[in-house]
Amino acid sequence: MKAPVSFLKQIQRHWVEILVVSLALIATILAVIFVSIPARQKAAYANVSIKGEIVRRIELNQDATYQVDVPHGTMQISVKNGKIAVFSSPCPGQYCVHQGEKEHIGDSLICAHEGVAIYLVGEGETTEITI
Amino acid sequence: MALRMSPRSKSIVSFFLLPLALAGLFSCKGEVHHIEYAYAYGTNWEIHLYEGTKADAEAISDYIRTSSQVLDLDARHCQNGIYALNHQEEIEASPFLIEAIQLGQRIESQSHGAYSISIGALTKAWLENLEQGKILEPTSVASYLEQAQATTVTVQGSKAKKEGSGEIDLGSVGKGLCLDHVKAQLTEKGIRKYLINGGSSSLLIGENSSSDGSTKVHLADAKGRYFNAKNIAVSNSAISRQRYEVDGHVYSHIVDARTGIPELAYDALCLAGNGAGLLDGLSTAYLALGKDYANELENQGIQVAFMKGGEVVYESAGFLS
Amino acid sequence: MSIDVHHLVSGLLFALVFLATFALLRNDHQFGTRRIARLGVLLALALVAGLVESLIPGFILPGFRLGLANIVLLFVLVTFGFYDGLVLAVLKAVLVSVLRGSFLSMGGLMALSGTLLSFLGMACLHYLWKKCSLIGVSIFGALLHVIGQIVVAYFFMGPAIWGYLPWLMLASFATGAFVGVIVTILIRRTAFLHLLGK
Repeated sequence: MKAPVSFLKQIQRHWVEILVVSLALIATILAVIFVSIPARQKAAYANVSIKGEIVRRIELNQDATYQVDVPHGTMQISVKNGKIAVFSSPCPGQYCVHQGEKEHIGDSLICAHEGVAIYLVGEGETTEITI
Repeated sequence: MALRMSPRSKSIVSFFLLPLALAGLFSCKGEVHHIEYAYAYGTNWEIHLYEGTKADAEAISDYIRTSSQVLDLDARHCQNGIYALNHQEEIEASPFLIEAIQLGQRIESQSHGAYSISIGALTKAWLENLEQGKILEPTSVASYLEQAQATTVTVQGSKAKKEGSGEIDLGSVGKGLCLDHVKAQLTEKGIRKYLINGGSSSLLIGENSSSDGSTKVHLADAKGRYFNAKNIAVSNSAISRQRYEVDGHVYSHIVDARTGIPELAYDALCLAGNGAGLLDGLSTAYLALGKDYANELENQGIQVAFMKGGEVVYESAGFLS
Repeated sequence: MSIDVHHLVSGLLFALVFLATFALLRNDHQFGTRRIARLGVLLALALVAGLVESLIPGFILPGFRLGLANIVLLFVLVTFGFYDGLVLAVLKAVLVSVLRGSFLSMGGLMALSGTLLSFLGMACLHYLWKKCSLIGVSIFGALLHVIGQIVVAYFFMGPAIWGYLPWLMLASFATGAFVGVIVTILIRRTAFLHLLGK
């Protein structure tokens, strides 16, 4: 077994490596800021699922308000200018209403109390439907 | 296995060769997804093609729209369609109409009287009344039924003739028959990855790019139950689509031809198998007949799920998950 | 019974395992049998790690993995050498995707390309820059892993997928460091293996 080495000595020994990794990390963060975030695509549909099962697929290209039956009542979902938001919900915390508008692929609106999850998706293949 | 290179050089070479190899191997087309919409047969259709071109998808949606004219009960302009059949003695019928008539008659003979193609007028009368919260009097029902039973359709070559004063309604096989033709067109074009959804009641499910190529189909009338569909036709008849409640009785748009009343013992019936047109008509017929007749369907290789009260009350072995 | 894709693929897999066994049976080591046995166990370990980590759903990031299998791969690279590690990397990638049922699908190909690229990269870095600590090597491997996955995904899903790469790379720093720390501890704890000549 090697003898334990003090922290400072370790930094001294590996300073090149630490520098390289730090630079790479900064570069990645910059990439996130300047590549990932602008590259987010606007979603085409929102899949509304209750307790894991998709109950409704809402198109985001038309402005409309939708009513969805949820365990404790009815939830109202509004679509405006390609953005979706929870207008009203019977849950006590109202977190879902406060989450505001979402419009990019991968975004989601969750209401934990009702078990409702609204995922925004692009034009990917439909691998699940409800009839 | 000795290439005379130091391990280091070998590492470097393979490091750079690999991305090249991968790029070469996988420089195939990316994912394709064409979506078209159509309004036909009284409902909204979604056409998803995961292969082929946009033109292919448009051709399918055009076909769906134009074929629905033939079976549209109010399409006066359609000389060789069902409107003409219902209002004229004898017509030169479109091949599609002839197929629909023959399919409907075939299902009639199989349905123990629960299904009839001649109850168009009765169905219309029920819907008109139910919309206003009323029901038809038993005497009206009886006369409509008599009218329907006295009506026959005969096909000879390309001519179709209706005798009797009843109205022929082939709406319950139309969507499915259309899908049969769509399937033939897709097969001809070599397209295997697709999903055609006719108002969530008639579907043609091909393959997709998921791990096993199947589509998960959830049943709205039985929460939590679903099945995996691949290269199969699905027909789902449900009363929830058009549901009316009068005096504590629940009515729908599906009339049981034996009683003449659209009050059924089940909420929904989902069938999966081959032959969309056949499944379409059978799902309407057997929703009225009930689960005791399910084995007749299973003997034809069709998978069955009867639903009532939000639960599955009968399912074929191995069908649902 | 006609021959179809499934038969060809199964045949290929058998051939692959066959060749891998021959590759591993190189007789240039005094302790050949012990080596084989150890590699077998390590392969099983890598497979289990790979399967378990693939069951964990990616949190909104497609392709996010904890890299548990890389612990085994890096360990083998460092203690057994490049060739043994390469064989293990290939077998792990192929067998995990077969067991998951995603062998010829985009997911399986992504994993294969990611694993291979990351392993070869780690090998290069480890042999070229001997003083680089295992944590650094591991982070490098994790970065390459996601790059390999996204490159394959690009050919299937189009240019939109590049947007995910920076997020995944950011996560790789964390997972790579985690894996690196574990491998370092393992190496220290199994130093007796080196003394015995594996």
